[in-house]
Amino acid sequence: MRPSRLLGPLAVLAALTSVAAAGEKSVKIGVLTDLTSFASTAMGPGSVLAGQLAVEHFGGKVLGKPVELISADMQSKPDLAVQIARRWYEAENVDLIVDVPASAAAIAIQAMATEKDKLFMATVAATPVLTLKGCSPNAVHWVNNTSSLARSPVSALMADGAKTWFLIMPDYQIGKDLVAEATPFIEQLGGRVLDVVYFPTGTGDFTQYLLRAQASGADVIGAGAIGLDLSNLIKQAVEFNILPSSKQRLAAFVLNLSDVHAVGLQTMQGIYVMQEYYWDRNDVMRAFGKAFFARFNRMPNFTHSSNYSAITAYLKTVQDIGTDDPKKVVARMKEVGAPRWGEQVKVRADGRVLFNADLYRVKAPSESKEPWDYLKPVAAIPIDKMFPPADPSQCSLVR
Amino acid sequence: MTMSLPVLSGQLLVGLINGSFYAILSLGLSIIFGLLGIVNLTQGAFYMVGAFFAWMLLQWLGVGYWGALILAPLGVAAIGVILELLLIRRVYRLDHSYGLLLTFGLLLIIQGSFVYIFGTAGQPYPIPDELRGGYNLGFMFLPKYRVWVVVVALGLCFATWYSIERTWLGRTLRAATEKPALTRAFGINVPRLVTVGFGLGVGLSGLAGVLAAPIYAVSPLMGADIIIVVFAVVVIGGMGSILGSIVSGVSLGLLEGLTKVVYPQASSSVIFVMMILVLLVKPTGLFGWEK
Amino acid sequence: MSDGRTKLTLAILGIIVILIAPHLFYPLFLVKVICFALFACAFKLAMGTAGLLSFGHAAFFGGAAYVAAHVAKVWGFPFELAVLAGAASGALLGLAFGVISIRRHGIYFAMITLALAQLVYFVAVQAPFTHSEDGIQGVPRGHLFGLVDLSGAYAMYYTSAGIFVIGFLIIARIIHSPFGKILDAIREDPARALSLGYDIDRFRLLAFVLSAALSGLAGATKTIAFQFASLTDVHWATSGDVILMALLGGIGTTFGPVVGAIVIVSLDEFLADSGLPIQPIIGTIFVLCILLFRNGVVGTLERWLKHSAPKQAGGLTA
Repeated sequence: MRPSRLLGPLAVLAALTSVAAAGEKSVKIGVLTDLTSFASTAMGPGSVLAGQLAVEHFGGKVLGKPVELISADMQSKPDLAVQIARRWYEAENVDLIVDVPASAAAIAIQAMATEKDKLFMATVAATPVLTLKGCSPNAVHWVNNTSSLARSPVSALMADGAKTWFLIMPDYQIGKDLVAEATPFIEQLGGRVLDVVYFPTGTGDFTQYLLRAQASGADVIGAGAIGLDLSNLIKQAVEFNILPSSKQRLAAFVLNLSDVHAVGLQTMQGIYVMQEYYWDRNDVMRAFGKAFFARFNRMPNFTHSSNYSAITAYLKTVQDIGTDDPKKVVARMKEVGAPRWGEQVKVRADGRVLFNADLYRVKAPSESKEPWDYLKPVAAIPIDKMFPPADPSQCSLVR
Repeated sequence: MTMSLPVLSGQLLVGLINGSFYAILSLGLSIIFGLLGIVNLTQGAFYMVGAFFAWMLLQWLGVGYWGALILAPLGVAAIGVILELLLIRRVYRLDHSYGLLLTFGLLLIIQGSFVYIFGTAGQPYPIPDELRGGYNLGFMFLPKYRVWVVVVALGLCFATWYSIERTWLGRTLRAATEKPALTRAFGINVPRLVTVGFGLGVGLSGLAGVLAAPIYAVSPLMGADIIIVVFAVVVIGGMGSILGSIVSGVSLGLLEGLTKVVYPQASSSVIFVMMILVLLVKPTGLFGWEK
Repeated sequence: MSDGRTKLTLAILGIIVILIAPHLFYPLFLVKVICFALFACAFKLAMGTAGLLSFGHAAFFGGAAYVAAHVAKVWGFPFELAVLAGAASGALLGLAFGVISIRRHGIYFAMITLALAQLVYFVAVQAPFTHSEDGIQGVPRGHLFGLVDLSGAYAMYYTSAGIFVIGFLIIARIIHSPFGKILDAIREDPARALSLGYDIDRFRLLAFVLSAALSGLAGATKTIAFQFASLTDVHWATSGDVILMALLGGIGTTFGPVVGAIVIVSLDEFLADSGLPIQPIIGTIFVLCILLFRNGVVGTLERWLKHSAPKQAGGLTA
């Protein structure tokens, strides 16, 4: 062993011995999000606030130790996220990492959590890899993934009579994942995908794709565009008289409340979207929404609320089992489920958290009675219509 | 993938409309390169600021679209002039690469600041009432606003071409570019002229931003997405050539439109293939000349 | 103090810093600094020495990242071969870019490289083996020469440092060689070099390919250390980053790019927890560099030292 290699462990030893019988002084949670770049409105400071509220509402302590919440800006750069996560797990005693908006970083950090025996809860990333090839006993996939995002509007709208679909998807892995999930499900329910168009992200003008969708006569235009792309797509659909239409509906697969706020009800009215959290849905969700609004002046996105519910569930589980050992926390959640918005939800062997959600329709301006009163629930989506079964061929945790 | 002729016509018409939009955007870039030899990457940021000024005028001062069409470009031009006087003129005597890099840095600052203050989600801006609705052409519905954009684009292109080629201002600007010392000897204040020209070029981008606000989401990112395309348009048309910008803007809109029909994934990249081809065969662009 | 002794002192200082740094700073962060330092030095070779302002160097860096990740993970290449494969892919891509664009100069050259890099980005989004925005994950670090287990932070750090030192020495050797002097001449006055009979395009092409190969080396090392490759590595913002690093440190100096890389990578890391808007800050530094510190940090320091030192007989200073 080279002499210089001894210095490292010696230094750590020195640090450890200098703090007499330390053990872990606190439970540390890190919100690793995009604070200043592309995903900052969807996630960003809202995610950090949601985390803070979760800790506050829980009482700030668990098992007699204070709960500490830190945050960092990954600026939409996956390798910066990985670097920060590694530093957090290895050198700064962080026990749990949440948020992480980039799928590349989420997959890498989940693997790192396994390697370092720490905890990762995927609260905003949607890639299905997290419960397939990348599944881990040290992680749970808390938020919707592309499977449930794709299946939800399909099952609800087809139950309402829609048969044919025209899909407009981003030319990205998430787009391909959505199509791969939606198409067989549509066919299984007796429908047909008439055509799929993949557009490069950052496209400003969607008019041509919308005209094709209109010409196809499909019952539903399924838009997988995200954020700004979605805003532009819907704006242009209205501009070119494609919406509102008595013959065609538009379903957005990935939509945040902040997108509705950005485009406005006048344009967005009538769009169908699944939301796993909406502030006005029930009392529990409303309580969080109002607390969030009081500090942020905006109602939370489902991504923000996902952080809140995940951290709350984590702290409650730790309290229940008397330890914050990550594998034990996850095992406990898989055994008895996890608390989520006033219910106990099941957590599958592959880490997939199972819950039901609702299909909403964006209100017309006349229907909106107060600020942020944007969505009207139209159908409940049961769990079995949202998540496909676990895949033992891809995840060894599934027996 | 089959497509009927009517639908195809609709696709190409949209491509043409977008092309006229690219033409306006590239005018400003072209003028500035023609004047200063600087590739002004900040043009994308000015486009975005123009759209934001329109939104601010509506949101904070209740000034509508028509007022914004005049005030926003003026505001953007003012900012451009200040930047030119304070910063940009310091790199004229240097290698032109420094101008490119300086404007790149300014783009980062302006865009980054707007992202920090406003977030990335975009602000709503409605189509003005007078321009709502459209014409049913049978094969598609053509919004009035898009016709308006084409009209403005044609008008601006013609006005710019005419000013540069036919008026005293244009002639003097061209003289100042090609033979600055001689022009100064005639008593013309060349630096001031250059500043005016820069303001004009930047103001054009701001105007394009106002035109964009009702149909594209007003977001801090709108500049970066489009500047790369506009860049390619100007290179292909010929840096400094007004006619070149107009022709290549419209053509590239059509080419992009066609690509969206046959291979949409490549619609953002096809423009780079064109750029490379043109640069290989005629580096100064289709209508350009060696500076 | 003579020039030679200054360089030796600096080199010894550098070695000491490299040896003790991982005990003061977080090793993976240092590995990132090292890889970008190598990338910036490789870029300096193209722009600072040969005068080729390339706006597409991320294509070499990121392309090599994908190649190295793929051969290490899917084909089971050992570490050193994966890294060499990355460097080779950089060289090949550099050759392709160069052959297409080398006859153009200045702004036009910059624009062709940007367009070509955008096409590489497009391929990275489309190609199945890159998995688009998911990236290539779980790249094994393996063993160095089959002996040293690289999964430990220190082993990975020292290996990266070793690669950097080798790369840096190659670059320094090129810069100070006759070949490097010819490149200087071609950059300063192409017409004169041409009139002296030099095939300037061939020299520039060679310099470009070398720069691309070393950029590939940096990208491959970073990918294996971080164990994944993603679209950020081939994005034009990364091209912009490396230009900034080289400019900030001093494009005309040998050590400048290293300093630039240290500053920029550190800013990202240390400002991450602050919530400050990092893009505008970096943009401001860029602007200040171009307006005030065109020689960069190291360049300005060198000038200041030369001015304040008593003039040597015979005038050694360049």
